[in-house]
Amino acid sequence: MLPRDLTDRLGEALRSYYLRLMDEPVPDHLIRIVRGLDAKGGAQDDD
Amino acid sequence: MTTEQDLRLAMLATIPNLRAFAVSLAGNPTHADDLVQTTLLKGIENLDKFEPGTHMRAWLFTILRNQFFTEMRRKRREVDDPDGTISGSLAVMPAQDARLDFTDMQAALSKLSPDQREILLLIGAEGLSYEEAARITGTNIGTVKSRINRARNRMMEILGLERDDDFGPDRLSRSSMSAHSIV
Repeated sequence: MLPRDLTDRLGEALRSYYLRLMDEPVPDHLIRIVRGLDAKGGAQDDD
Repeated sequence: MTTEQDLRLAMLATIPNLRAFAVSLAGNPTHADDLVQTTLLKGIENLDKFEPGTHMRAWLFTILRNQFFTEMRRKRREVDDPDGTISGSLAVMPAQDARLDFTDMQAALSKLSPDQREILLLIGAEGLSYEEAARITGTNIGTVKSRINRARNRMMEILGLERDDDFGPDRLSRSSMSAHSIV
């Protein structure tokens, strides 16, 4: 088992990496699916 | 009373987490967006099965990881990759100033087994509890604990890190060379 401080530092590095990914813009088609604007997601009207 | 609109809003709020998880798990942004898309469609189709009071994020993560592992098993059969070492290309090109740190982490994650990668992301990056991670992965807390310990040790080994000081930028830069050379 890793010492606590190393586990914490690894966790920080991992979260930093992950936050960068979460900051990426979400593709529009994924938003449209959830909002029900795509064919498979529901209504097909655009806005 | 939770309406369908409320659930869809909760789904929307979860998309950045789903994408980060999918990119890290799959190692490929195109595959990751396909996984997220499939997850959202399945989630919407099964919204009536979502239990109010439970976490939307955990529910969608379960759908996504099940989809990923199903595809991986299928692909492994097709390409005869028994070790599951189908390596992904870099998912995102980060800004120049943080490139080494980001690519180090991406490269190191890609060298973990899928099971270890998944558990490290759920607990280390998403901050889920052992209980939540066990529920999502369909295992028990003992398995989660041993898997996360092995994943952390393996990450340190891959990154060539042994001490707290090793997390400095110079050391990380050097370790990236060994991490990338294993690819």
